[in-house]
Amino acid sequence: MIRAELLTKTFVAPGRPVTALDRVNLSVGQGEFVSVVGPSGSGKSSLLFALGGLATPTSGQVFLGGRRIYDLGQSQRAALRRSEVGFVFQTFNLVPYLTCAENVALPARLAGRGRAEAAEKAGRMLERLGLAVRARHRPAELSVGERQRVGIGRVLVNGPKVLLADEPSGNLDPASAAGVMALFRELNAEGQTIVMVTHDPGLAEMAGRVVRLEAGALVEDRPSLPRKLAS
Amino acid sequence: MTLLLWADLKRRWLEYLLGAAAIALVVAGLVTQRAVTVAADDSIHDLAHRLGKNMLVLPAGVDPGEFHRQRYSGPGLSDRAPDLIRDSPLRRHIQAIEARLYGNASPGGVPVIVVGDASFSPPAPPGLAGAYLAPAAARKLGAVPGSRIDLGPAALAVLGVAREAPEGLDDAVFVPLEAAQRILGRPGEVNAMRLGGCWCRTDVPALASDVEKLLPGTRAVTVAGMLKAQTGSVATMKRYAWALLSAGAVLVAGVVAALVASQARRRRRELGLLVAVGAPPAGLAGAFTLQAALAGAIGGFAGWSLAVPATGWLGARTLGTSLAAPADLLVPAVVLSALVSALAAFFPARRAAALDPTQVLREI
Repeated sequence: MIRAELLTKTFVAPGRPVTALDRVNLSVGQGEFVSVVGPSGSGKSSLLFALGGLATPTSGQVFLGGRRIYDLGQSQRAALRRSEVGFVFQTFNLVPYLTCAENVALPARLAGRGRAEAAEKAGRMLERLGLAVRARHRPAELSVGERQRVGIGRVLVNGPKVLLADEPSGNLDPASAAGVMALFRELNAEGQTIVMVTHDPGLAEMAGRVVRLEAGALVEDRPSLPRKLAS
Repeated sequence: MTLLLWADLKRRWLEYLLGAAAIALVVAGLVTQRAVTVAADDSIHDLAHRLGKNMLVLPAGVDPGEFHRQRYSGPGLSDRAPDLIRDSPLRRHIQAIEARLYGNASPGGVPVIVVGDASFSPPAPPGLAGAYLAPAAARKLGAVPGSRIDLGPAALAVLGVAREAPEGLDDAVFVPLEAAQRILGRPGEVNAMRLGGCWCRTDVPALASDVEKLLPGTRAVTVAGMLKAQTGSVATMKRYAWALLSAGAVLVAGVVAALVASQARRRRRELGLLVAVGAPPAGLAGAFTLQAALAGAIGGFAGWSLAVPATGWLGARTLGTSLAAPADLLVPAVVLSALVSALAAFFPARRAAALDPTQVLREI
């Protein structure tokens, strides 16, 4: 489904070069739920952004459905982010002046769908996420858990092949975090491919596979522990 | 993008309104300046057209523009002035002298122009002064040939009504100079002399200067002199119009660029998100540019609308006439403002859309 090959990303911090990703090879199959763990600064978010076509690697390549995404032009990569990959962020990143329904409909509108069609898809998505009554509310009027669910709805509205989540529960209380994880597991059970970055070892083990990064290098790639053992 | 564009316009309407207002002020200034320049130019050409090859001698304190708008006021000249010219060496250049006293009068509340001419002395019944009336004056006063009208201290016998009046003198009552002096209460005065001659080989500005020397306190207005004045004033205004237009465009561009750059700074996170969810950078830059163009077009229209009263006010103050903002400047004002705004927005918008989303999306 999505594959990183010898992915390297370096940038120059004040005074010294920093290697964010060091020849990372990672392959995620259709319907897999992979969590990426590692200490702060180990390159987890860089990997996620590179997989989603947002951060051009210094060297290496990312393949999505057989296409080399960094050989695509900027507008083609934008089109890819509209329909084939979707990001869920720790800080939700909702557009503050749009309603929940408009936030969820946004990628559909950007993908060229008509206002009515996008609104209908957004409505259905909000209903599925239990947020139908919040459709006309703005992000500031929602709880953090609800905001994150709207963020997930925004990703899912175009039916992406891969969902990339960067610390999706990082800003949530335990109950909301559990709700988000339950939703991810449900989506994964329906066949959604998910790559999730997290600090939380317990949450990481809820995925089917765990990869660990250290200093930009992939140092561990294993199936998750049985749930009982993980808890 | 349309959704975001309208949502943002609704949210930041005050900001856009202030930007449009700044653009409107610049456009209003430019349109007004252009209207007044064109009107001043027209007014000078009109005066030159009326003057023909003649020379008009006026008291130095009288504004020729006011005089030609038939608002007669200010000091006069001695009615001996024509004789002074005839007795001087200048007489060989001057074949005709038409000395007149013009004034505004309102017999019975009807405004007319009294024109006293030194060479006009028609036969009239005893105790009356003979008068010829221009058509509108006759109509307003209800006078016909043979009737008598009273103009202040003078009683006039209407000897005839002209079929056509000299240009601009449709309201005139033509009387002998002495009668006009009595009616207007200006004994021994004239306030204009028209000097005529064949001046093909004469240095007309030099002749005008000699006339002014011979008759101190006068101003000799000639076509040549007026065209020179035009070169010195209206032409300067025209020349600076380009500089003003450029300065205006720079000002508009500055306002728009600052507006867009400031928005781009404040909306970094939102822009980063939009790039992440697949908004094409070109589309984002286009949305900013379109918003700026819209503000520019609104500013251009508002500026032209503002120029309508401004032109009227400035025309009344500077040219003493009622001017209208030229309607043919409406479309250029709107289109140019939109174009300049779009161009000014383009570069900051492009820079904003090219931001690295991974940087802003990591910020908590």
